[in-house]
Amino acid sequence: MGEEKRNPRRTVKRLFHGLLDLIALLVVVALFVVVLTPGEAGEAGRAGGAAGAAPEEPAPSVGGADADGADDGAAGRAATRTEGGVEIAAGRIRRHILEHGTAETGAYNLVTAIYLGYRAFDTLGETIVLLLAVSGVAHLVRAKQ
Amino acid sequence: MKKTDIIDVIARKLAPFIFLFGFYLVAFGHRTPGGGFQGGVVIASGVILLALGRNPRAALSAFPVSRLSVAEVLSYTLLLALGILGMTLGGRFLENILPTYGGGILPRVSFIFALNIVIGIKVGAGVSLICLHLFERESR
Repeated sequence: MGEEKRNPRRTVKRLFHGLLDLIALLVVVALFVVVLTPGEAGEAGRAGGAAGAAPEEPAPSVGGADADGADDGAAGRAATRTEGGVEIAAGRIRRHILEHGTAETGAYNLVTAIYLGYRAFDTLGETIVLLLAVSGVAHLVRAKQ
Repeated sequence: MKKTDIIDVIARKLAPFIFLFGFYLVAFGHRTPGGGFQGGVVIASGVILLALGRNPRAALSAFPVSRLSVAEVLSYTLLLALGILGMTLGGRFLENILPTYGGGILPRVSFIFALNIVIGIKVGAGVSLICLHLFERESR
């Protein structure tokens, strides 16, 4: 039973899939770059301001000013404050977390206050990812018996 | 890797302290650096250390795969239940309802404490399950 593998068709198919992978990778990298670079108008600040307008915890100081999200980044970026001799460029989100994080969530560890207090839904997503990884490994290992 | 008795002895003597340290990281996650994910991985490393000995089945008799799977699924369900608990009392999903409904008894941080513990168990069970499955496959 001779199975003749059509070499040109297989090569084209592999090239096609490789090209798709490359395009997907470039799109993901471009998305990361666009979201994370602080642009001229403070894109990261504006995205942070828009996302911060609807936090998990009721925070009246953040939720009240979501109408002026346009000059949010610029105003927040220009304001700096000196703390202990070190200048901290304080965006609105950063300032709010630094000042009210402990009082609102009760956690002295601000990282914990963020990922279990303000953004606990993303932590749920993380646990879903871990669940997926475990079930994937269990499935792939058992299947080769 | 040649399995000697040294790994066996050291692993069985050291594993309780590794678990203790893992639980410490989970329990104090709201004050010191640590938390659910970090402490869970340390707990899983204790389980994996036990599995590296000469007789892994005897060493892992306290952590069979079925029990770890049940623990992982139960703790994930508990995490979802903690989130929905706020919704039943009129809040949002995963909102800390203790300021408005807990009264003055529990401090506000108890919600984050409970979430840390549940996530710690889940991550510990999950990562040790991954490694135990791969060890099973290797020994076949």
